[in-house]
Amino acid sequence: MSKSATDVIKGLRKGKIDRTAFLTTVYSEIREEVKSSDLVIKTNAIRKLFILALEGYDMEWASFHILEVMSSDKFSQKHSGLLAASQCFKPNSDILFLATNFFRRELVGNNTIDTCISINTLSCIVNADMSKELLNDCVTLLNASKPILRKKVCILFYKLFLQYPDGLIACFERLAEKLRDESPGVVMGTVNTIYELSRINPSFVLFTAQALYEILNTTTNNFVIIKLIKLFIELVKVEPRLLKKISIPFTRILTSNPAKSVEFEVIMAICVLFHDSDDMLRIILQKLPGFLDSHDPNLKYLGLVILHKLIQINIEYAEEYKIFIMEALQSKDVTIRLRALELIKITTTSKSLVETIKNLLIEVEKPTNAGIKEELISSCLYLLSFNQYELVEDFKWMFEVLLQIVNFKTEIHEAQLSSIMLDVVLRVEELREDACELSLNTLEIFDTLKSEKCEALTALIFIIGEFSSYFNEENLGRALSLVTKPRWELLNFHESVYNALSSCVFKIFIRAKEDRIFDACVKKLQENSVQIEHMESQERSLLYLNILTTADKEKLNFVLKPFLPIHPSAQNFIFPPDALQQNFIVNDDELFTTKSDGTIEYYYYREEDFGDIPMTDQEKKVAKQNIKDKQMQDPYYIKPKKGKKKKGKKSKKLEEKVEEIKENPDIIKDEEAKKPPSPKKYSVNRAEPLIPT
Amino acid sequence: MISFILMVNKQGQTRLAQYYNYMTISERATLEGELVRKCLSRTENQCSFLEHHQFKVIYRRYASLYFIVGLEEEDVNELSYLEFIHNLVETLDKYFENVCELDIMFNIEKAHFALDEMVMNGSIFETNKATILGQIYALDKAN
Repeated sequence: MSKSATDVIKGLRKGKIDRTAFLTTVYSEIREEVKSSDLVIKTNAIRKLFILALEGYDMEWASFHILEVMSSDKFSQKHSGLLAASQCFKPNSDILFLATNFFRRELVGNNTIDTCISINTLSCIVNADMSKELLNDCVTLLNASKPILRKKVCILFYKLFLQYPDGLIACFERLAEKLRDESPGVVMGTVNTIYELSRINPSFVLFTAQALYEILNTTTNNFVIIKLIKLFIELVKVEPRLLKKISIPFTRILTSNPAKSVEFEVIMAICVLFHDSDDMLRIILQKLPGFLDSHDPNLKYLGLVILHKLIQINIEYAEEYKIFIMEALQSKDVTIRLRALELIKITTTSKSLVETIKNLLIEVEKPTNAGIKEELISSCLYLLSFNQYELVEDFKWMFEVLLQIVNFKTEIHEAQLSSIMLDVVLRVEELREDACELSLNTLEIFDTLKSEKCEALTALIFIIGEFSSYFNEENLGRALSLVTKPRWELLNFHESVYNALSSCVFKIFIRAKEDRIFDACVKKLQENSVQIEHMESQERSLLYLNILTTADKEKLNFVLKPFLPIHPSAQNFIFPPDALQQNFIVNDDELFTTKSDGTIEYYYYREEDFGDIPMTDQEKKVAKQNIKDKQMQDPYYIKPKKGKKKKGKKSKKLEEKVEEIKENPDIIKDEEAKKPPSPKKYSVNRAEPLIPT
Repeated sequence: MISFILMVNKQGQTRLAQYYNYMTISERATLEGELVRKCLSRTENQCSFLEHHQFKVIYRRYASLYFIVGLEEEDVNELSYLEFIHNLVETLDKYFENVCELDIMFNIEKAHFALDEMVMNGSIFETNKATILGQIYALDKAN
């Protein structure tokens, strides 16, 4: 006797039995039963399978059986089948082809409730082909006599349009007529669909604005009001004149509607649309304490969201509501703390930065904040690096903070952290001395700084190497003993650490230039080149080793002079040497290849290259054409500008140019002014509209 | 647009799951487990809104069952979805007469049908209890 669905549920509820064993038995039973030809048994099996799906069992293998059950005439069987289908039919599976005809029959059928449940399932599983086929039947349903059908079809249309956008142009007007339907449910459904469409392409739905305005003034359904408010925000983006018209109903709703959700929605809309209007903002400021001071934590949360928007309009509000923000950061509720964090990011000034970062770092160490540790640290980094370190006044303090964050060991932020460290040390000269010393202190405990890519560690090693000239005697000794410790090899760091170490050893010697440390450096490099497994690191160690042992000590002085950055236009005056001027051929094999039938196919077509190869004119022509064809087909090939390439463009020699600049330094500015203005950049519209207007 | 609606009990067992964007079985199971754990760790005094990966989650506990609604959008009116959850529970309550978790377990198809009368495609399209209940009674008759 087969179990019914109810039996399965009862069975699962019994505490004493082993759940997994029970489920496995049921599952194997289902596999047998579902193959039966008797629809009753089949439906039963599908029902049981549906319950098992809640436990995590996959239903997809039974798709065909589900389809058979769906096609039954008996309502209960059909319903079970359709329900199972909506849960498990994958968007692009083949079963949908077979289902299309079934759905077409249902849509035109007489039985209302059958059609209803079919539409329910259809909205979950419809794909592009099905949309195309079924669109016309759906349009007919728009005029059905029963409002329930009209309502459902209106919502279904959104899914259909998403899958088959071409249908949109043909049917949308018919859909928009439903805005004036007598049944409020149909109107709500249509408003929903139009709202979703307006998010994709507002200008397309603009013509419905009049009807929507009327609905806004007459409806009492809060959900509809909320959707309409959102809709109008989208529409105003394309039709700014609407702004004036909607200010009246918005104000009315704001002052009269008792529901907090509607109030919230209107306030958000006003912040977005009417941020210049003082009257509106005044009303909002009156309403705001109703949210922030409330005992209801949900309203508090919403109050913080509103505050966020207000502060984005006018930063002065931050001062007044500072207390709320600080309180919120200490709140026991994680969600509210996250909101407070967002607010802190936009309200911190350079005066309050130190205090804020201190508070944030205290929060990171609290165990209650384990879940939002990442967000806290990224907020710190965001504030520190905001607008090219605009908020930071004391860079030494900032570097200390960065080192503190290194100790928190967050892998996600390591890359950003190390790039900020390097950036700030490279740019701020005054910081370098302190940075070296602080980095040295942190590196003493390098064992603990190991991570997957060791970016922070690499950055610190780079700093002490590059700026070792700022070290005094004692620190230089410390640095040297640190980098020559044998412990580095044992701990198996990432490759970049060893690369940085070799460079660091080399640089320290260069700065110090003393003989006694020469031996230590050489020894270390020798060890590195043998003991470390990474090829790149061995290569570098050997390179530096060779330089140290074979080069003349005086000639190494060139490494000491700092390289200053060169302006791009000045770089243009530096010409590559003659050997690189001509496009010399590195490898003769690249010139041509011998095909299987013995003919030779040439790759290069430039005159200077062909000089050495005996080719007839005909062959040259063919070779040129080959290259051109290849380039035309290559989607990544950038076609050269039309017009002759001027040969020998750079006529003046380097020395002459330099003389010129020495006499008249303004010549660089003139060169810049002569350049044509850069071409207009067109922004890429990532939200590609469904219908190109 | 709603991405999913779940009814999960305190032990983490899903009683009803409706997804409006396709997710594989394993993704669903992980999502449900993680969400219920997060909901369980929160007290009554905390707000009913969560952020989980890219989802904004609104939940409410009714006796032993958590009703969870998840959205993938940016500007979400969380309070309206809370009201929707309450509407849903009241509708089920009226139909099953003092609904409890067991009612939903043993009448899963009817519960799905009631939900489908309120939400389709991730949009809430009917909130009038009378209309919804009328439909469910018609379903009973057809059975």
